[in-house]
Amino acid sequence: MAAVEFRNVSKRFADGTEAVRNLNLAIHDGELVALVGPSGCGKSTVLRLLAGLEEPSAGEILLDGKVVNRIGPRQRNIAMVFQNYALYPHMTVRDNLAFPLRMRRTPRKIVARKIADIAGILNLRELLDRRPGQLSGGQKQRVAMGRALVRNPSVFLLDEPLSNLDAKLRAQIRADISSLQKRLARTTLYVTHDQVEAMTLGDRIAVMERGELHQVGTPAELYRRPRSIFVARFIGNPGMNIFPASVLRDKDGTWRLRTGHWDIPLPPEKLPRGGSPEALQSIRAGLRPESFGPTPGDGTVPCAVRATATEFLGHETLVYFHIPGAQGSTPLAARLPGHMTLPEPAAELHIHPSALYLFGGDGILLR
Amino acid sequence: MRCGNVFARVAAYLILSGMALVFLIPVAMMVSGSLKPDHLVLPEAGRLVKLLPTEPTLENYRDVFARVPFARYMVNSIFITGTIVSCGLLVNSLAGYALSRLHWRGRKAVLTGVIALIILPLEAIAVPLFYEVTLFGWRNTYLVQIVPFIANAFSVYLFYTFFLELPEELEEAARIDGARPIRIFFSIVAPNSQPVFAAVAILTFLTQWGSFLWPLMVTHSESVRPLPLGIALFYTLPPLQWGDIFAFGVMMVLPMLMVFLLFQRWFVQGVASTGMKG
Ligand SMILES: Nc1ncnc2c1ncn2[C@@H]1O[C@H](COP(=O)(O)OP(=O)(O)O)[C@@H](O)[C@H]1O
Ligand SMILES: [Mg+2]
Repeated sequence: MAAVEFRNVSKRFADGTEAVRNLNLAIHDGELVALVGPSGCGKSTVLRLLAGLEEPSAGEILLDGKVVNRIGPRQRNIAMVFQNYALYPHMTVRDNLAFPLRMRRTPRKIVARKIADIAGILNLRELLDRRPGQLSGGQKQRVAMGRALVRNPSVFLLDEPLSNLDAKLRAQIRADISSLQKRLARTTLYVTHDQVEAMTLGDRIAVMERGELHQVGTPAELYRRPRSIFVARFIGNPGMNIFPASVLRDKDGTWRLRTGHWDIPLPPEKLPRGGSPEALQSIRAGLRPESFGPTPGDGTVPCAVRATATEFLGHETLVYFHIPGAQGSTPLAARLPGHMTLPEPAAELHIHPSALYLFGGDGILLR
Repeated sequence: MRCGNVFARVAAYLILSGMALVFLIPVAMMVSGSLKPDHLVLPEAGRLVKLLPTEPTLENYRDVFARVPFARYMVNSIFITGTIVSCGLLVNSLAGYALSRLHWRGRKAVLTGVIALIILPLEAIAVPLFYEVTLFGWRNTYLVQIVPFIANAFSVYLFYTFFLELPEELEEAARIDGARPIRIFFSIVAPNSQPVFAAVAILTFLTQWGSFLWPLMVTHSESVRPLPLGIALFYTLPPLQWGDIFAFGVMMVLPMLMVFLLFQRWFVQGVASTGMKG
């Protein structure tokens, strides 16, 4: 068991690419942190830094309070599941599982026992004498997990472990990992570009973009209070709708959000603090697709929409629409329950003004 | 499209078969000559119609063993070449691995040196090398025929380029699993590099098996001399019997064929089973 801390860690490669910039992140003992972000944002580099495969260009990496910058992977007792599994192709599954134990001079008897244990947990018993080439993707994935878990690592790293699997298998193994993590409670850094995996598996989620950490928090925190447009779009499926709008004050003193034909009174908790009137003229507003309702409710405001497409998904319907009178070409999305077709292109949806998010021109959340 | 394909394939097979014939006919003539009585070997050589010996005999083979210490030469050749090949595989692959994967001071300079040495032929260094081994007192030994040829720049370079292309992930996995570089090399890298080991083994074997100039310079007794010097001995033993030379040639080529077939299978298997490219 171990705690991990990154302190002002940067990584610049020899070719000048700055893959990680000034990273500060703490992973508590037994916690699973999901590191998410689009491809190329530096997630794998963070893992490799922690594993000791790369050396940071600046900053410190701490394992249980000790700086490990100059300590090689061998001494860190960290295990890693690679994106392509990196199983040793010339060894049987049994030998793959035994390799990390043998490297630590584990007595033969104990090796056999540990392999039996892990094979039981991960359901690998029938596969022990096969080679990686004779396994399916899901089986390879389980062997890779087994090889990482078999030696009781203090920290467990996974690099997009499900990205090479088909959707159904992915959901199943995701559930397996989740229950395994509940049982074993390993300090884990789980890299993924899939927000569903991050939301379902992470005790906390760290969102990265272009080498920088945007926000760290529990799934609920990130969903409710995204610090930036980037996080708001990334979390949720589909992500938050973002559209240009202006905030102005009426003659009667109420604040209103206007865009196209929409005119929404802002509740007190959404009032912008400070900010010049010009800046308020061009802010960006956000609404989650699930904030729209088909019928009026308590305190809701009707919003005219021009629907362009609907997607029926069985338990819900996704409606894509434009705001009448507003410029901007990307349609917004609304998630409506059940099977729903909007009667005509011009229809109305209802929102609660408190569901609104306001972002400044720099993309940072205002209210 | 289809027709074109078939035509192209037929043409390719014809050309390849033609080339195979060009290379095989001399070998066939050698075998055939070795089975003919001495007086017929030279007159019939080069006449395809006489390829099949009319009265085949094993007399030439008997002569080879009677007139020169063939078994001795064969043992010497096998020992010398075998040692060079096996030590060479070990030394050169380790060097190639150190150049391709480990980080150390002067790596670039050494790599440049290795590449520069590839083009240096033995003939260019034979004389200074001769003085050197004389100084060591190594002349007329096995050692002098083995040691200078173990480390080989071209082999190092072949290993180096192959290892560069191997996916690094396996080695990283092994590092995380707690393996040290030497262990990674023997347990992970080498087993997944059969093609390059086979290629280097074949190449080294072929060059060393036929080595003539160097053994001629540094040895003088039959007890340590290899096969190529043995075959040359016939030219100094009157009467000049071509049948014997052909028989000697056949027996000298056989191990080459065996080594090639052995490693070639390994070579193909290696490519197929690891599924690694490059
Ligand atoms: N060894 C390397 N040398 C140079 N650039 C690299 C190296 N490894 C990764 N990068 C670059 O660093 C950035 C982050 O890469 P990576 O951490 O693999 O992203 P992710 O895992 O989030 O997709 C990318 O722009 C990538 O091209
Ligand atoms: Mg990656």
